[in-house]
Amino acid sequence: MGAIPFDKFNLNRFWEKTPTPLKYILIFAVFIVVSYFLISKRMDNNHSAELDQMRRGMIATYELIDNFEEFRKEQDDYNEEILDYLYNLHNLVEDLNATTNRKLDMILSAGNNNADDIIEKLDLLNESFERLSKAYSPNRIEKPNLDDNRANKNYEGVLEAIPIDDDGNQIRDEDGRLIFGWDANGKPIYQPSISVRRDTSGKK
Amino acid sequence: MDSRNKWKSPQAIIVMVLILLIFSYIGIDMALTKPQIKTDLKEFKTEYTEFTGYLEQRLPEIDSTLKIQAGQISNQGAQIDSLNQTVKKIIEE
Repeated sequence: MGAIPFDKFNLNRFWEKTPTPLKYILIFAVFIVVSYFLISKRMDNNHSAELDQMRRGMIATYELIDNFEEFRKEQDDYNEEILDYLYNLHNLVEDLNATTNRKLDMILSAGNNNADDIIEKLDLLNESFERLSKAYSPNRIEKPNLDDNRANKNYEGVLEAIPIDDDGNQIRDEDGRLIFGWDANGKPIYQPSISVRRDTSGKK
Repeated sequence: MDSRNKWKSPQAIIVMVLILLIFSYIGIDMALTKPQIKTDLKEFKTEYTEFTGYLEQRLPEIDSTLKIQAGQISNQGAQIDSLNQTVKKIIEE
């Protein structure tokens, strides 16, 4: 087997025979290469990493703005629905009040006269009640899933006061009379228990 | 050995080749890396310009959207107040 003659190689002799300026240049070159790897290369890598980081930030911002766009649409629709909902509820309350007052005024002012005429008018008013309850159906709006929504809790009972079927029509009994609820014994209530006042407007 | 012979000695040639290799390596590495970084920077600059343009366009829109929604919520509050007042008035009457 052939052996490499390391014994003949002497580092001191090798170094002795190298010209002195070359020794300095070699040391300088080694210093430069070490500095290059330690400083410049690391800076370049950091530079690239920083650019990547900023790119990721930009992409995240784009996504955030896109998500905001979706949120804006949903929130706009929801706000519009709530405004309609409140507007309808307000109208319903005022209409119910006005209609009930008119009914009571008619009964009070008529006495026992023209009973058939009054019954016919009351039927017409009941129809208007029905139309109103159809126009305003709690199922039309999706309730927000907010546990602490006080408005939701406060109006929950009111919204369920008039019973309706799956089609949104007010429930009737076997004789076709409108049911406004059931008492504690399970018997149907045919007249809503709304407080009324005497009509002082002078309109007949 | 005189100084002329020292420069032509195999040791000197080996050291010179070594130095040349070191500087060549640094030179080639820099020549490959720096243009890459420059291209990256140029691309990033373009992307960033687009991004700032997009933000300049969208931020006022987002701001106005939030203002509109604040107005809508304020309207809801007004409607609820109005409804409460009506209900209260009816109950009192």
